[in-house]
Amino acid sequence: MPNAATVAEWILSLVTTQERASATVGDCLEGTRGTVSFWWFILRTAISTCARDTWDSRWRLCRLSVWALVPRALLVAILLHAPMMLINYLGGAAYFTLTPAREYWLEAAVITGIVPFIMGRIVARRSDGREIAAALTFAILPGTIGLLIDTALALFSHQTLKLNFPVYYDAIFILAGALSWRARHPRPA
Amino acid sequence: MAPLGEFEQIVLLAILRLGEDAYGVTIRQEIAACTDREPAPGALYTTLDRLEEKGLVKSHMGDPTPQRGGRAKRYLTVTPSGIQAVARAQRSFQRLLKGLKLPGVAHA
Repeated sequence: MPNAATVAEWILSLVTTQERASATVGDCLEGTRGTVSFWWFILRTAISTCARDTWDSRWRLCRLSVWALVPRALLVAILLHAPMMLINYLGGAAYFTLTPAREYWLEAAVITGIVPFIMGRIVARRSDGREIAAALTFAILPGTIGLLIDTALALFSHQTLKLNFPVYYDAIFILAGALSWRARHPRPA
Repeated sequence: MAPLGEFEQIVLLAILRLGEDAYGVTIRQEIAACTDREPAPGALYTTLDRLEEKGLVKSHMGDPTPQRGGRAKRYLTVTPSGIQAVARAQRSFQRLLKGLKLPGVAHA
């Protein structure tokens, strides 16, 4: 089982180079006493570094997130409709009935699981070494823009605003996709 | 080049004061001793990264030590352009303070 310092080093290596992550954990081991202060140090450093990455590349990451909506929509369309079209084309519809329950789980798996995971990898690949910042921006920005559009439309049409808060289940899979990319492509020193 | 922020100046001055023994732990201790405030670790490391990206400091890795779980220290030194930048910023402060009498303060 890996010890706390190894885990801390892995966490920091997600947002900085392996060399700097190692030196920072060394500083933490030397400069802190106790488990709570150790993890408080590591988490604050990781969050600050990720926030700095995001802020320093904010416009690039926003552009990347907006761009990524297109392949995301295409992937959803392909993965949801292509198998059914193929089944119908091959005459398999008589053997495979898409009940409402099956349809629900198919859509849930594709829209909130498979596609976000693939998109996490795509966004991470194009993030120029800022994988976690890019994944978080892509997870949060589209939902927030949608919420702003809903609010603006409701205000413009003088209708009662029914806030439909975005639920970020897919954020977990986007982040998982980005992490899976990062695990094989560490940031160069 | 963009002017240095207050914390960037503090970090550069701390590294200059420490000389060859400037790394994360000693820089934090030096800042705490001289300014009476403990810098947040995240703020310190992101500032060090930013200063290195600007070419104002450079870093090199030392030898691993058992006290640090076999991890090396990342030593920092201020580059000539870093010295120029901090000197320029300090001169601005000096010009602003020159001839100014601060109530209740012996020397401005």
